[in-house]
Amino acid sequence: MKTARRESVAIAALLAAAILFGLWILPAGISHGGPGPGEGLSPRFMPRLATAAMVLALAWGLLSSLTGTRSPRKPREGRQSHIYMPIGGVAICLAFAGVGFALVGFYIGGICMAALLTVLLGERRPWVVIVFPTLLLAAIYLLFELALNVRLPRSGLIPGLPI
Amino acid sequence: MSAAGSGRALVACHAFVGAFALFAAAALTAGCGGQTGSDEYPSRAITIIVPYAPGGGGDTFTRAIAAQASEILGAKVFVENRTGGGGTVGVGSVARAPADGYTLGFVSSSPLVMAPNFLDVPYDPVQDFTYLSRFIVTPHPVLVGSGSRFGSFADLLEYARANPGRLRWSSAGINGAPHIATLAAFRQEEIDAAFIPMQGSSEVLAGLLGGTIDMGVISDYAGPLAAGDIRVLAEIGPEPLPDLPSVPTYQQMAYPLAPTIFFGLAGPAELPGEVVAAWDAAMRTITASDSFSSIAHRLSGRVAYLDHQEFQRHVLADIDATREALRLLGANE
Amino acid sequence: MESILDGISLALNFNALAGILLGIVLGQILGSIPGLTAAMAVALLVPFSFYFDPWVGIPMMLAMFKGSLFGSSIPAILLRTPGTPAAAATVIDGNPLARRGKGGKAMHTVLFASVFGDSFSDIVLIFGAGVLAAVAIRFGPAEYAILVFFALLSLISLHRGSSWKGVAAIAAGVLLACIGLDPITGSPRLTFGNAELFDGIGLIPMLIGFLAISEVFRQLEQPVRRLAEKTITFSSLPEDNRLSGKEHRALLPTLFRSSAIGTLTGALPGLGSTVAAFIAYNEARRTAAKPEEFGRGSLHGIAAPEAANNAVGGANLIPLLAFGIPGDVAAALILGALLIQGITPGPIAFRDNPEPIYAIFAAMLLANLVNYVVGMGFIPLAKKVVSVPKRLLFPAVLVFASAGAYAMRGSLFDVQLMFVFGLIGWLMTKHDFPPVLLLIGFILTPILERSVRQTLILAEAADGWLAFVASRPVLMILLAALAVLTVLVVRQRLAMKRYGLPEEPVDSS
Repeated sequence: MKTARRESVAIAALLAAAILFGLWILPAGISHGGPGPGEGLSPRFMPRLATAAMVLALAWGLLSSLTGTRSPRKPREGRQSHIYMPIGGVAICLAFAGVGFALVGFYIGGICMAALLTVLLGERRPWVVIVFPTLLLAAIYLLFELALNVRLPRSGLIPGLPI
Repeated sequence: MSAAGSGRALVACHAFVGAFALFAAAALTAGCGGQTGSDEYPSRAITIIVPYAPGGGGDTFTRAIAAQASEILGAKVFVENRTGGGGTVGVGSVARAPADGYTLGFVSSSPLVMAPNFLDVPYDPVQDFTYLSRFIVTPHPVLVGSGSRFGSFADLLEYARANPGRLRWSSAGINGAPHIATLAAFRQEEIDAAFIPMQGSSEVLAGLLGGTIDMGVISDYAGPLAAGDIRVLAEIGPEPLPDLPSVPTYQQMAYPLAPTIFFGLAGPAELPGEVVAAWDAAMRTITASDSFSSIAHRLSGRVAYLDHQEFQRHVLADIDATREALRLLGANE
Repeated sequence: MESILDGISLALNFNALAGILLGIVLGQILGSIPGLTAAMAVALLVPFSFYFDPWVGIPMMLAMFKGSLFGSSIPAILLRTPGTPAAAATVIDGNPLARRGKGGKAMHTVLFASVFGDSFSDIVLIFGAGVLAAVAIRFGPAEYAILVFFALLSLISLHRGSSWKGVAAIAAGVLLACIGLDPITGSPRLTFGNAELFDGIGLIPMLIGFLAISEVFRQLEQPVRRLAEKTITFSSLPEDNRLSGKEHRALLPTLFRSSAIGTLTGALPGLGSTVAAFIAYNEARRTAAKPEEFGRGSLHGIAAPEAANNAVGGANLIPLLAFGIPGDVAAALILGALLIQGITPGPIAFRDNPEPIYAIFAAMLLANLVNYVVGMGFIPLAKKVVSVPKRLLFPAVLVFASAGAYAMRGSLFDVQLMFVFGLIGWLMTKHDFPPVLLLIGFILTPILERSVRQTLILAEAADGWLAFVASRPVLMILLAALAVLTVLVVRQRLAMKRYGLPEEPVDSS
């Protein structure tokens, strides 16, 4: 029962977000309003249609959640205490993609990212934590820079080295 | 796996790892480099940003130039692709790069002359660039299917005048130079035609051959032209087509906009004089070379070298002319 | 006849074979890395092809595409992370089979199906290009609009589970697809000033994020000791690691049907291999003898999308060779390479200079063979790679995918997008929202919206709807065919309800 209530709240929140989006964010993000001549439908048509469908779907979901008919679910594997790993993983990935790579370049950033992730996932042997990411980035360098001619972001710390 | 099997696998793994390490070391040493050890420009590797996907016309030309420039300038020249927004993203990175001559960019007309009038682009084409040199001009003819009833551009205009809103035409993108120039031309002729926005010259060509549209203004038309599936009725640029000199141009017909679709090299604003001089000399040599001409010929472009002064002048003039034409068209917001 | 032999001999020599071999190997490797596509690698080859012998470079490019379509299914099956969008549908049945220890069988099915699909469409290309091209060229916006709309409707049935979640997922996909410059007016939609969004959200960051990264995040929910285990184990029974002759034969009807779907989809520019794979999967499930096996590891469910996505490759060249018009990125790259060599494809080429065309045909057929042989060797290699513990493999996948997502456009923004979609995809899967439907909405909306609006403009220009429809024979045929189909489907559904046949089982994937 408690999970059903939590679910209803979540759906209600999504529904509110969708309505807000449709009424405020959408018109703000698409300045070109009505269809001019020779334009077929307005640029707002499709997004509006999709938002309407989303609102309807969420409303239906809210209704069925409130009336207790639960949507069919898979049985949960494992316990919630294992959630720290994926959250940690997400945080590491976003940190590097957002800031890390731009700051220290892809190679140094990638080695750190791989090392951190490996440790997060339970690897404790120090030589593995250091050597494996290095080899990984060496492989990436070979494949991307030498074979494919794609230049990954550099840190600019050492001008000569491709790091 | 048996013990012997896993033992062998272990040895194989180690060997693999060892080989990798060797490779990595070799690559790192090979990768260090590009320092020429001298003080004058260029003293290290240069990067040219191409705002389009690899394999396209501009990218191919730029790589050919980069290869030759490496030899002439004595420093490695890399090409980096940074696509997005019809070229505006890559062009933006060039504008923001440090003005030391080690980051340059391939530029073409649309992101500089056209796009800023319609979109919020992260650069000012008048202030933010040093236009180093132009190397190619591409023709952008007005095409019809070979079975079309229009024998000449005049026929087309006559039909459009008699049947407002019925002439269906397209170009490879929206708000690009061919689109706007043709709109301006139609406006001057007081013609009302139906523009069908399409993405890419392939869609336009398929539309011409399949009878979906009557007229198209694009630049990649070599195949169907050779096959006799399409005919050229006009050219939008100021110069007539070399193999079809009798085809009228927008300039000859005194239309408000007769844009030159160019490919060129540019850098951020206020590049040092020695950088400009070095590239002026290099590009002059490259564009005069045989290998460059043959690439140009095969990709349907015309070699049209302009040095920095001329190119800068031309681009700024183009930008002004376009703004003026758009103002007249009333399309400027 | 002589020119045919001359042409073939251009492609059947050691240099060309070496090029094909290299292309297949590179293609399979690149395809198996999430985020990297063969199109990218080939694009980088095009300028260099000017300096190569053309009959090494061009076969190599063709081989790269074929190899990558096989390579991309390997991580799809073993890790649930497709290497390229085209393998997205292979995950649905491929991974469950691998989880049961039969990964070897799954990979062999994929190899067989891929090479079959490739060969089918190559043969159609060789003998039927002219006819197919002539029909395909008459498909304009109105025809596309109808096709895509019905494809969308039929693919919705891929989802078995609560319908409101399915609708929400599709709606989200449609909305995401609308971000970017409006296809008709060119004005920005939901870009909020970010120039990197002008082209919209890239398919690769989106798809790799949604399917591959989210899967890795999901796997991280396991207890730590399980992460120290090998990623996938393979049963040691021989029949779990290969396809028997009987199984080969049993797959043939599905393979023929899926290859046909792929060929037709490929002949129509703009649709792509991902769409073909999903449609073929859906059709295979709809007409299957044992539909309840789908989603649990049905061999037909693996073979159908693979045959279809490979078949698109050969068919892509149909408009190129028939008219000189490239249908998609791959064909455009090949066109570029041909032009640099001074070869202009089109009907004139067939008449005046057919040797290069025949050489291309020969190279493609040869490449299929090489693909099969090299694939046989790739499979044991893949097994080795995947027996690395999960806590090492998953970080490797994440870092490689970052590099791949960056390489596409030279943009860190794409890498950020990829991880954000990974997060969203993980949350979605946790709460039973189907990511596959979001993807289908995302992929099909641009074509659908553009085609519908173009059609409206064209109808205006044609003096009204009646005149418009009357002027397009293909449109009339399509409308009639679809009316008939709708009637049939409705009757079938009514019959099922009347006879009280059970509802479809809950999605267990």
